[in-house]
Order: sequence, then structure tokens, then C-alpha cells
Amino acid sequence: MLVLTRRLNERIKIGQDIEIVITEIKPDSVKIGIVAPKHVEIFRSEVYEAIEQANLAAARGTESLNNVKELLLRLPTNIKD
Amino acid sequence: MIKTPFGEVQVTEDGVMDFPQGIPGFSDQHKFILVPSGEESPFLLLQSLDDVNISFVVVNPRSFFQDYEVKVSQEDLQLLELESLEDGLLLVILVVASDPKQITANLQAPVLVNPKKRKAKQIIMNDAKYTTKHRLLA
Repeated sequence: MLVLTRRLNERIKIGQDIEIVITEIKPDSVKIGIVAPKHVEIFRSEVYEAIEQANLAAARGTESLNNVKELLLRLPTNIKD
Repeated sequence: MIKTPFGEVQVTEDGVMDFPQGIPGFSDQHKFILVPSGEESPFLLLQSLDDVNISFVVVNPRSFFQDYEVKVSQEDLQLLELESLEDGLLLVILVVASDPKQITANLQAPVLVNPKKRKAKQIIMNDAKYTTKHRLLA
């Protein structure tokens, strides 16, 4: 991993299109601004990892139940279209 | 013919959807089909064709979460070739369990499908309004 030291308002450029700015520094947190093309998706890592975990749990759940369709058809639904 | 948790299903080419980026945790899964559970039922199976052992139970969120609000970026709409969110089919992924009370829905990352172009994406919403685990049955 590349580690760089930056001061307030200093920047880091990643490739042609992405720039990171340190916009605020506090004792236990930093605020970071990110300039990137719209198609580049930016997430807090823990948010993305939570989605990955949820998808893995969903796939496991479907695989482990052997009567999943019957179970679902028994559920009460209140469809409002 | 493939074997799925909803039974054996005949795959037709015009039913195959493309997830260009895969989905988080399964980035190498791109081709999926939607298998209904029954005519009157809102539940569907999102079944991978790249690995037939991978499938997800999905549901139209409107059936259970009436006030659910989804925000989609212009870039995602463009990727899916949708003019607006309303033109797409919105689904949420469930973690199923044998105890119905334990079934949860991922409202933070719904799946948006363009049924006409057969393109789909799991949309990750960055705001903290929804989580990955909302109980389906209140």
C-alpha cells in the first residue's frame, strides 16, 4: 500500500480523472473530498462490505432451505399496486 | 432445463438478463433469469445461469414496504437504458429462513431491472435511511 502524508487542503491525484482532497482534520477523523467521473462509484467500504455479506447470506439461505418455494407461498402478502 | 430452488425451469434466451457488473459478493455472475413462484405470489427467484447453485429470493418491495423510497443516479439509469425509475422493475433481495419472522429484506441495495433491454444492477444507496436487514413481516 502506498502511504502519503498530506496536510489540510492538500490533494492526491489518482490517474487522470480522480482527485482526493483532505478537507478537514480532527483528532479522530478526517473529512475527505473526492472528485471523480460520475461512472466511478464511491462507497464507504463498510457499506459495500455489508451489501456483499447480505448477498452471501441471501444466497446461502436460498440454497440451504429445501422447501423455499412452498414456504414463500404460505406467507401472508398484502399487495398494493 | 436447469434445476433451481423453485423447481426445474426451461431457460429461454429472451428471458436472460445481464448484470454488467455482477452483484457485490458475486462479481463474476452476470447472466440471470427471474423465476416466478406462483401467479398470485410477489416472490421471484433471481437465478444465476453462470453458476446454477447461486440464486436469490427477491420480491417487489411495494408488496411489503409501502413507503419505500429509492434513489437512483442518472448514471445508473443510463447504464440500464432506463428513462426513469418508474420504467424499471424494482426488486429487493431477501434472506429467507424457515421461520417467516426471521426473513429479512435488503432495502439498502435494491435490484433495478430494465425488462425491455434485459439489463439489471444492484443499486447501493449511500444514505443511511435503509439497512440490509429489514424484517419482511412486521
